[in-house]
Amino acid sequence: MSKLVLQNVNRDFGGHKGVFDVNLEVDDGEFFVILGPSGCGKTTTLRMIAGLESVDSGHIFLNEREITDFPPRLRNIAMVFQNYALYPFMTVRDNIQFPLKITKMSKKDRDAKTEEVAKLLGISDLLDRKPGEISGGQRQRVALGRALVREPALFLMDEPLSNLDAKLRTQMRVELKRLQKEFNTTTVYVTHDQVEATTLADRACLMNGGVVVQIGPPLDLYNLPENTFVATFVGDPPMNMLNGKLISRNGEVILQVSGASFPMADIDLGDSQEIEVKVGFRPEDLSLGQSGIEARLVVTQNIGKSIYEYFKTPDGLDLIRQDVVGSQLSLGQSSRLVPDLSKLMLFDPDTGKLIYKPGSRKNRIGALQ
Amino acid sequence: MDNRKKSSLEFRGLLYVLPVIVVLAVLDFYPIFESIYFSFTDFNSLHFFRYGFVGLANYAYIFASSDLRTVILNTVIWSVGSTAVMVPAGFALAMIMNQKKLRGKYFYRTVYLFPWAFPAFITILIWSNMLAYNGGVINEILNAIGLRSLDWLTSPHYAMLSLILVNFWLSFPYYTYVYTSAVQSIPHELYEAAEMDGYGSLSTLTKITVPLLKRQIAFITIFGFIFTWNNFYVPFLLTGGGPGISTQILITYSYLQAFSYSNYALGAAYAVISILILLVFVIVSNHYTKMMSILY
Repeated sequence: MSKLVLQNVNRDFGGHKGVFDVNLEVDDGEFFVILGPSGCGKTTTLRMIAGLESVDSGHIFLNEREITDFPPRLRNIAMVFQNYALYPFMTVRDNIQFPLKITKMSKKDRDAKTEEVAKLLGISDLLDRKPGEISGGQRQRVALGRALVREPALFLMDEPLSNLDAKLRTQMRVELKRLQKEFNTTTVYVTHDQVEATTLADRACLMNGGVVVQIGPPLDLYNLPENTFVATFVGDPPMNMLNGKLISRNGEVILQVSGASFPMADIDLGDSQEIEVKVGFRPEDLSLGQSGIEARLVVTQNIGKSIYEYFKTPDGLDLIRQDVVGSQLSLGQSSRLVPDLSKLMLFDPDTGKLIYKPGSRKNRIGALQ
Repeated sequence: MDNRKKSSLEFRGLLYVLPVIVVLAVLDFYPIFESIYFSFTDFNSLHFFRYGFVGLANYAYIFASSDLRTVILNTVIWSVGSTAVMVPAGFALAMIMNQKKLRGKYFYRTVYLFPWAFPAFITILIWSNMLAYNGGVINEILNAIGLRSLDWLTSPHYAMLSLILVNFWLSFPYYTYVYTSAVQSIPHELYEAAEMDGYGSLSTLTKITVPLLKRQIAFITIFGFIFTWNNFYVPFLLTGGGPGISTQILITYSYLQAFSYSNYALGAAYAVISILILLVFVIVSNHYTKMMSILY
């Protein structure tokens, strides 16, 4: 049973750098990912949970026990570092047992435990080697092993896969998920890679500028982003975001964006005649049509299962469309692009907040008036 | 084609190291071989222009003299004594200065460079005055707290101690800096990982810092020893080897023979003995510590 709670946690480094009023609840056994661009405060948050960074104000609870001012060793938390933090002069075996050597555990038990963990990680044959003699992926496993032997209440992982090459990273992602489910240990995982977040997380928290922007299952972040930051950060390639206008004309609401108009049946503007909005639609929700946003194809990227097409509108805006392989479009060709109106999102241009998504109860168009 | 390319590369490599070879040849190898040659002659003030080969006569004379034992013993006490205080002190200070939570780090770092802010010559003169029997500040302090004055520089009992003390003052900043850079090369995650596992500062020192810096510590210690062995100016300026020959070390004694008594051949023989002892020492210690591996 280990539930982690952060209450109004602050750490101000000055100059708007730091972590501000972070509130998180991580459930027992949950794989929780903190996602965000570099400098967003995600690593600082993790280090505060670990006790490696002090907290200016706020509270941290683990198992309903306040650990805010505990030194790291009393927190029963294990951490996997980005560059593994293995001791180069020790063998893999000694590295894995290092946390146990300070406990009262007998050598026999220590060795047994090490063997067990090594077997689980598939590194039994490497136990007598030094970290310098094994590959990056194997070092990663040793670092995991060192965290696993402790059977801690909480795992912290700070971008543990970022030093691996792409193929190994994909493989280790699967492995991590499997291990986490097997051990069922509450895990907080920090990354800037949204693919890692979406594939690993039970729930993810997106941070920006030291502030939590949105918390939820990764798919929620994708499908129902709180604001334009979430909408453009989550998703690859990112969501298209254009300036547009909602206009009320003869009782009908029309969305005008980049020279094209689309009827918006389920929007009621009330008394207003015109509202400025930001219009967001994902690359996969853009199709070719007879009437729509005019744009010229400038670059294509074939990634095997589909093609990314990069368009430019006459007024210089960029649009990305995801298409099936075998597209008939040729470079330089102009086309009309039609967003799928049932998946389109509208954001407040000033605050960036999501104000409309078809079929969502979150629609807040009325609040704008 | 491959062979031609290889040999031209080797030639270029040779070209790049040529300046170093020239400097070493002129300033090191030539004097060393010249000294070895002189040590087999009767080159002195009597035979200044017409010296000749005398075989091992100089060495026979040296090994028969009781001075050799005293001087070697002095050199060992001087080198071991100095190394034993300045190297650990440098390490300890570096560890203290590198504590994460220490405030005023930059201030201290400036302050402990102080012994280096003056030319060593001046520092030694000041120490010489401070250690003077009459009116020296050290004895004044001893008197003030009710202790009697000590013969710091002129008694055979304390002269070597004074030398080591002054050498310690002159050299600890260097060792502190060298160790600071060594300690700072250790990634801090290694300490954070240990901290999370429950290791305290003393156990991280013995379990992480020392094993990680094993080679560097060996290297710094052994080179500190060699440097002190040949460190001429502290004994020369402070006691001049006295009283008697109680603080003569091989290098100052060689100088004494050559330039005070104009017995150049004998001085050269002492220098050769010093070099041979060091050579054996370096080979043996490198064999056991593999310290040279940090150089390549």
